[in-house]
Amino acid sequence: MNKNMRVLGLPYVVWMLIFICLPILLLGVYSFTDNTGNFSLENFKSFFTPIYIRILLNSLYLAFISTVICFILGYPVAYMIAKIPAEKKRNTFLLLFILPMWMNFLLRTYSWMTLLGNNGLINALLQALSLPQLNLLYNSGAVLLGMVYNFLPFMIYPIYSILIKIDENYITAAGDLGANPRQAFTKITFPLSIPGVITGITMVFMPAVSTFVIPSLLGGGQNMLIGNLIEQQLMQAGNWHFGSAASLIMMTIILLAMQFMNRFDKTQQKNMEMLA
Amino acid sequence: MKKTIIEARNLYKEFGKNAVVKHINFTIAENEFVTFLGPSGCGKTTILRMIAGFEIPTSGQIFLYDKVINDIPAYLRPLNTVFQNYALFPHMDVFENIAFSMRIKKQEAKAIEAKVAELLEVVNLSGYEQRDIASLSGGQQQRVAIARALANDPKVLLLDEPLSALDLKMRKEMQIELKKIQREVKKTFIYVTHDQEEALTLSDKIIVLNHGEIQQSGTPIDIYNEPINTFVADFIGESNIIDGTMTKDFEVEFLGKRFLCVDKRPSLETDRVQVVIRPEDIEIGQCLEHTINGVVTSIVFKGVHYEIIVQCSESEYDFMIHTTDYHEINKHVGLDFGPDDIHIMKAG
Repeated sequence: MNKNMRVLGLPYVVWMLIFICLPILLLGVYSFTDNTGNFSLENFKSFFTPIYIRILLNSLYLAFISTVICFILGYPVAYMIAKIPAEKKRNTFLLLFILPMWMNFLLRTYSWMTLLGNNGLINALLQALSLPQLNLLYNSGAVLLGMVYNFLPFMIYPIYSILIKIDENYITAAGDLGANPRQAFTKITFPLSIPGVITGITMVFMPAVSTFVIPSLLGGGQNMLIGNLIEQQLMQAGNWHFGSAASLIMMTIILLAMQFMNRFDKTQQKNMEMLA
Repeated sequence: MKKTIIEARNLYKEFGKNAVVKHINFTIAENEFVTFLGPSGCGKTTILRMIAGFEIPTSGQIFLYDKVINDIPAYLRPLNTVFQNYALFPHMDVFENIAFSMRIKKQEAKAIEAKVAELLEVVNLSGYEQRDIASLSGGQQQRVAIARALANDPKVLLLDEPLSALDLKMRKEMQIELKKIQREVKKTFIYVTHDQEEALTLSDKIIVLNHGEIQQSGTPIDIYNEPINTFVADFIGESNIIDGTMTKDFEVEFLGKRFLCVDKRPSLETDRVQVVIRPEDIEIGQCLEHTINGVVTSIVFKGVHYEIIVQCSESEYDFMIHTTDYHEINKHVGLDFGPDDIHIMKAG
């Protein structure tokens, strides 16, 4: 049995070697070498200069804010959907939130441009009402909006799927023991849903840190984030060495963030087992 | 006369168009151990959930002492429940589970600690404070659930088939334990079960339910010895139920023979009655003129006793008999029982 499993696992091992391990190895090689192919720490040294650090911090900041907004918006939605008694209705509502993801990511982001732009729908409407026009596009706000809009389902779904699994009896028991509905939520439902919250945060934060389409379309290039920097270095400047170094730094930061989150998850692991 | 703590008046509950509890009345006295007994779907759990406040009666009232509690939400009722699946909070250890209701009431840490320690002693789990819920056995989880439900000093403890998830041996142990706990904490226990033996063992009073209606309520001895109808006779223990006729008091005729009995004739227009004889009340003896005679058709060893089926010679009625004596199959025997072994019920 065990041996068979190992044979069956082989294709995946090969896949991982070719498409995960090898690229990371190449990334490492590129980032620690210069144009001549010699070992060099120059790429990292030049990254840790105020201009790039600012880009990095700005990326982390925007990703953090959008994760927080996604959580604030997403948790109540997930909760309300999970509380719908009829399964069919529940699935319909869930579908409505997931549905936008079936459309192309670029298309969705472009459509925000036509809404927010100077000649966009919103400003046209304002003009029609003879109100002053607003600068809605090409700023951090627009980038944030794009991130929240695109990544919100990644927050809703994991929270929803953990909430739906929480035994209604726990809530009943809390009520029986004197907890009012609010206390039952803060002491029972929310703590038990933390594994879903952590997954949601990870699923939103990671793509939000590394996205380059949203800032380049909605931020208009004025808001360069680390994703844009990497894209620019690799595709436009042709500096694979510096681009790789920036990627590696970003990956390290994400990895550290995940480790940090997992520490919270560890204490919740047994709850997951009980819920499963 | 003990003081009534819980009373139901004309209690009715329907789910959709489906009536589950049909206009029932009952009273429960202080410090009584009362069991709602009935097959699944008889409405017993719904009654318990209405007392606890998890379900709202469609009509009728539930009283706690002399106050109607229909509209009081569960979290404000001074009653606590032990759930069938325990519903212990998985993200808290034993201590925090038991302390939950006291923390909600914002009691002092010192008082909480003392109370938890006291309760753990009552349920025989001293020293288990820091244990994870997942690391406890079913029986231990059961005990924690009881301790948790007692932490708030409820007026009444509600128990919803609390032992059904345990194996037989554990269940027997917990039955004794439960009775001991009830005596120790001196509280009213309302218990729901479908297990007649459990009900007989534990209760001061049993309320037998079927199809949302009370069939009979009384002490275990009353219910066992004087079942009011065939449902109760059949549900509580094994019974031989035979059609008979009764033309006068203290004399009944069934299976072609006349017997003396201790019951009066039910005040009905018809002479038809039903006769209940418990399997353990029948002795197997010799075929005689005045006895019911038959042939042993099966004998099964049940541990303490043999379960013997005797088929009546004339009527082909199968009697079940519990006896410690062995009798061969196909042996012709006579059935011996006294006047006080015969119990008369109205014909159903």
